[in-house]
Amino acid sequence: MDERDAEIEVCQAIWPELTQGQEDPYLLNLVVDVELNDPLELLFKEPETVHGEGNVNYVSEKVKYLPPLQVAIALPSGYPETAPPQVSISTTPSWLPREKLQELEDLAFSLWKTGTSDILYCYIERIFEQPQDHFGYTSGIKIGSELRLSLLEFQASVIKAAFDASTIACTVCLERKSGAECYKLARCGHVFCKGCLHDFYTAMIQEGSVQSVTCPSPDCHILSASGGKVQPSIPPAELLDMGMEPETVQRYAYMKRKKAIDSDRSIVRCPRTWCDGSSRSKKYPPMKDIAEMRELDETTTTESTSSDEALNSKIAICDKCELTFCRRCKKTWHGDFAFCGTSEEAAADLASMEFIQQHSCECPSCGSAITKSSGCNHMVCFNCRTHFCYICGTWLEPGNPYPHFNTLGTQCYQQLWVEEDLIERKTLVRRRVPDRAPNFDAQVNAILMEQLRLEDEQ
Amino acid sequence: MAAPNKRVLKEFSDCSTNPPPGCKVSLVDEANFKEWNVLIDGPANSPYAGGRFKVNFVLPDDYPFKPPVVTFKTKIYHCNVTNDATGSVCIAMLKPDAWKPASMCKQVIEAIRGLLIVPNVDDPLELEIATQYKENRVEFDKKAKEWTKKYRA
Repeated sequence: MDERDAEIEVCQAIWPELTQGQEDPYLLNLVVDVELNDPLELLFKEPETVHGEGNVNYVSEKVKYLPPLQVAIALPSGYPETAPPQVSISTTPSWLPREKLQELEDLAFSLWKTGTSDILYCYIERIFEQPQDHFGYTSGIKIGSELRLSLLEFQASVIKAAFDASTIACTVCLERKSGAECYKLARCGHVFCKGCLHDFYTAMIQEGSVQSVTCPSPDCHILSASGGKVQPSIPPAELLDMGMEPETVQRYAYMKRKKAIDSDRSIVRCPRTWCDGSSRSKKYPPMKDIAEMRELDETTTTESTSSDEALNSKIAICDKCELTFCRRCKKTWHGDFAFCGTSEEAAADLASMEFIQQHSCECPSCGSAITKSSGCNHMVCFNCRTHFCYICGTWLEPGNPYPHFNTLGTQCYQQLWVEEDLIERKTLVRRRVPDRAPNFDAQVNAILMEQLRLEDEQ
Repeated sequence: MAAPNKRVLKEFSDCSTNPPPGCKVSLVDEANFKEWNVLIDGPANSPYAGGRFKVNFVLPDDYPFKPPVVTFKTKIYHCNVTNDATGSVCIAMLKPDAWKPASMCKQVIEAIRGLLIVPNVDDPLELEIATQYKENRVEFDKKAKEWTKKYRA
């Protein structure tokens, strides 16, 4: 009997995965899985580093699962007496550096040279030890960045396969299911069977309890920024991942957004009865594709009343029908300087309006109210750079503005340096009267009457 | 919804063969697994000691997505149980936003037993009883013992 056959038989008894070639029984193949107890550090060279050799940046990833080593061992005739075993090792993709592979291949020759018996056995045993020893690397393996994605994907697929093959007791239906029938929630890691998750979430979405689309475990929560307990919502894309119908998920995403908007005081509903839109806001951008909605932000959906663009202006634009309306009186937009709402609100508006009228001049181009703090009456608008006269509000030629103040007999003759306080109010041909609501005078009268009545009562 | 029904069977068999201490679980009607009769002995270290309380569990059709409806059938002097014909119970885990599909009836039974030992005076259904518990414990204990004896199931 060939000494090689005896050696192969022994090894196959220990490692059944050691296979013989179809044509050549002395060509052996072995797959060595790389599944590590301690994660191995991989250093991926960052592609954008172009500065000299000394300045290379690396992205570090710690992995536990890597593509296996494919080991081919040929025992030529004359082995073990006269011919050494010939080994070739590879990985797909080739993540283990060629020098290391060479070193492992050469190991077979060194063993043969020392004249040990059971070379095949010793060699395979040494190879199997390699992964747990991190192949002798102590400070990570440097790898080209192009492999990063495929290696991470490989690891994910191994973990998924192990999960699918496991058995899990679902705590909702209390049955044991295979991992493939189950789903692990991304945020908290709790596992349930897809059937229970599907039925539960579908029922909650159908009855409109979108706030209940959370982990089915009792007491599963995260701590919010303010220290309170928050039950994290499941993002729409995850519902699709677990196999829910797109129509249901679409409804969920729509209702979730609508509820957040409805509970936000800075947002007003569109006044058109047939439209269910609301005022546009950066906080609630139009809905994206549900498959891309991987995040549902829990913290910004409530109680953000201040620092919102909406509160600084009365103008609102419906995000659905694009109607431009006033957030206070809900009527079609009437301009910033019209009065509406309750008498108190209108009185406040009136007071600021009067102040603006007495202490500012309107830019003849853009209408911005401009107050002079000091200097001459030749003004340049802060907003549109228009040149104008602060006294009468006339547009002035940017290249030569001064004749306006130098021409005998005109209204502003010799008035270039007149201080704001000395400008006689009556002479102010002020300026375009801002857009007033049609019932402006009536409203002002009503406010004055109300104030007189209150004074009388006191 | 076949799976949750199976769950009801499993939960019942677990609760009836292996109930929490001092408790006994049976069906109101042998043909209906969704209505349970739970007998809870008054815990030794409480004014309810020596008593026995009959508590009714009705599991809704969409159980376990919705919580069971729990009512005391035996009158009890307790701030978290309404003093009326219904005998409604207030337990945190039965509130709609707290109940989760993975919550179990056994935990509810244990929670009720816990309430008999320490009532939740901050969230009472019977305000007067809660106030008495806080301000005049002797009088509360006396009345609770009296009712326990009088209405024992």
